[in-house]
Amino acid sequence: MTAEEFVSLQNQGAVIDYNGKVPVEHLDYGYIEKCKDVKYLEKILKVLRSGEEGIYPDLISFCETRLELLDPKNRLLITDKPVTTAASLSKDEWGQIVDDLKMWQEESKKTEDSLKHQPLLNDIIKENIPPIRGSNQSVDIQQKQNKNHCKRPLPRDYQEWDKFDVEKECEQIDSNSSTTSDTPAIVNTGLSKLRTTLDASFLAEREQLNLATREKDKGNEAFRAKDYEEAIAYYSRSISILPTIIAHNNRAQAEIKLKHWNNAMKDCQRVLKMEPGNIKALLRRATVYTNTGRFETAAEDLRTVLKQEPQNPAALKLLSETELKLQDEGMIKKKRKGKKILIEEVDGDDGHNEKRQGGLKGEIFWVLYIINHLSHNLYNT
Amino acid sequence: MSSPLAKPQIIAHIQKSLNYTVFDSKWIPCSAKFVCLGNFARGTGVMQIYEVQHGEAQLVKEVEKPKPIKCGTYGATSLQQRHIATGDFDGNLNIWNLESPEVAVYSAKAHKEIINCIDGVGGLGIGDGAPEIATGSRDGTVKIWDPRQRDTPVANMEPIEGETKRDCWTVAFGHAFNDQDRCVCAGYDNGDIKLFDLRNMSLRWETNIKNGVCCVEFDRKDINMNKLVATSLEGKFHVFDLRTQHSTKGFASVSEKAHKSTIWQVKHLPQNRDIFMTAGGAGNLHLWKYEYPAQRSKKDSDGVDVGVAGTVNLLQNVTLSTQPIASLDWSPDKQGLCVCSSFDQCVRVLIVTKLNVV
Repeated sequence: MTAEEFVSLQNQGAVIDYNGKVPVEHLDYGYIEKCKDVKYLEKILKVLRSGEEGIYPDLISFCETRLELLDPKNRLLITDKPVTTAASLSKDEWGQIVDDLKMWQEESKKTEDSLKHQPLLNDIIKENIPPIRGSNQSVDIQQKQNKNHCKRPLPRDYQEWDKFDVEKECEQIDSNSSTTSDTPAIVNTGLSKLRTTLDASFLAEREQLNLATREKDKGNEAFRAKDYEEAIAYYSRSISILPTIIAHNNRAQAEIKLKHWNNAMKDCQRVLKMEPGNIKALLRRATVYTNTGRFETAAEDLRTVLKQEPQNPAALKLLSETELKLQDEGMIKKKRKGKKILIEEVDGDDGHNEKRQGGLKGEIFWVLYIINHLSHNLYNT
Repeated sequence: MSSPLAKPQIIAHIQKSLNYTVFDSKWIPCSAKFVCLGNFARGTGVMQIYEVQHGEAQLVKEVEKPKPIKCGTYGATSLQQRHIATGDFDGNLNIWNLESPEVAVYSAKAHKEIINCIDGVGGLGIGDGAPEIATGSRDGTVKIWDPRQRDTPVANMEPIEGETKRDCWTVAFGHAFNDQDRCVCAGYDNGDIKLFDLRNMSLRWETNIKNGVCCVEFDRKDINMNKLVATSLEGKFHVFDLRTQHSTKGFASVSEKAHKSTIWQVKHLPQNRDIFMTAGGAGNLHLWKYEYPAQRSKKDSDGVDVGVAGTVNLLQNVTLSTQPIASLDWSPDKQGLCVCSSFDQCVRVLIVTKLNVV
């Protein structure tokens, strides 16, 4: 750091006064360029924009770009923008939007007609609705002051002390402390109270689809917020209304996040039954396989995916990982195999060296057996 | 997200001038139609149905009623019936079948003064449990109504005798994820936000955000309550994480100020609860996305769970008008389609693009 820089930095530090006026010297390209204090820059920008010290459009935009560099999401940089109109979009883009909208309008007309012509299912619906809330209850708006205001224990007289039962008293204190202490925090999981199935059989097909989609969306949102258990509950609701590939696939993913391999597997299998070769399901099944140690089956699934989508990045990555593990496992297996046979072969032996010999013998025996078997087959055909 | 094209765009699709002051606009579920509610200059109320067709909003029906209509909701009706519940300047709650709007399907003298706000739950397949309507009024009370019960509310949240009555500006249902649980949140002119638990009939939580609460909304009505957004008079909004409630600290929250004027409305995208739009007093719209923190709760110094708020990111902002945007409604059926009305007697249909890629 040169002496000059040091001085200028010192100066900067000394004069920054957030409450006071910004000195005119600071309304300067050189100063703004060097200023690293977002708050102070904001202040400078405000002064510049207000025009109190004169209007310098170049300096304002310079200050804005500097601020953007330091703090791209700064509030002062939010400018009023006129609303976009069809004219400001490219023809293709607007055309797409209009077509999309047109399709939706036609579709919603049909839905509306079908809704109108549906017989009213009032009776069935009524049965499904819970009864009217206990009528006209009223709640005071003001917070009830500490419900469990502790009564101060009265001083006991001497006679009473004679009857004092320590254990009983202790018990009471214990039970008190557990019941009366306000729960310090309520963590809203509420999962247990969430039904995982919904009966929508009385609804029209269209409404079922709507409802199933909405429950699935809720699942997606919970998934994004990392509430995987809640996500599973909503996907299950969606599936109970209308089993869709997407909902099963998404539930599988949520189960994977929670390491519920069995459930995830079930969902994958179901999707693959509905649509054999579904890429997401294959990928997820492969994930389950790799996590349950079935690397070869996983690799198989991944190769199927890559046949359909040779560039699928997730599949490529997972496959390379699986193959690595497969190699590792292969090595371990080899070792294990040798050992296994070794134990089988030399039951009762206690010499260490003999064990190894026995193992070798065993392996050789097997190889010979296989060769014999093969040659036998060959000769026969 | 760096290229400008990847950002969601807010496109003005249709703009329609009206000959009355419009207070509220709502999509009719399962249709390409929306309803506008308002006040004719001659002091009567009006409901109009428009249909979006060939890039235009065509008037389908107009109904005049004796009292100006302040607010409406489809939240408590079935998809088949699609009856709209409205609140008017005189404190009347009415439910209309807009196919034959001459006589109300349900009618109650709900409040002594204007009904500022209304919300519904339990209909349209949104929210388990009974269909219910909440109304909030200048008379300081919030009342819950069941369309199956005439004349009297099923629950009434009012200040105790002798307390000053605060003007209730906004109500919202939430936490309706099974047959029993349900909450209603109310915002008042003095900055109070109160969360009532309708299952236990108790006040579950309250706070004060210092400035009048113009609008509150849960990110979704029909889930275990997750987030709540409250907007205020001086242009700030607060997002509360409702998953962890600390006995003294309450809910964790993050606040953001972007509008230079009152934020009149906040509405979450029906297809994605983490995206919401705020509408401001200077005729501008801001589209936000909430980002969750890595951990939504932590232990405080006493080992008690306390919530951690996330952050909000601005996705897009536009200026539509010079007058306040008083109502905003996302289409429940078509992602990205929304209708809003402003005090320059204008209703607009907007398209927000690329919502599925943010």
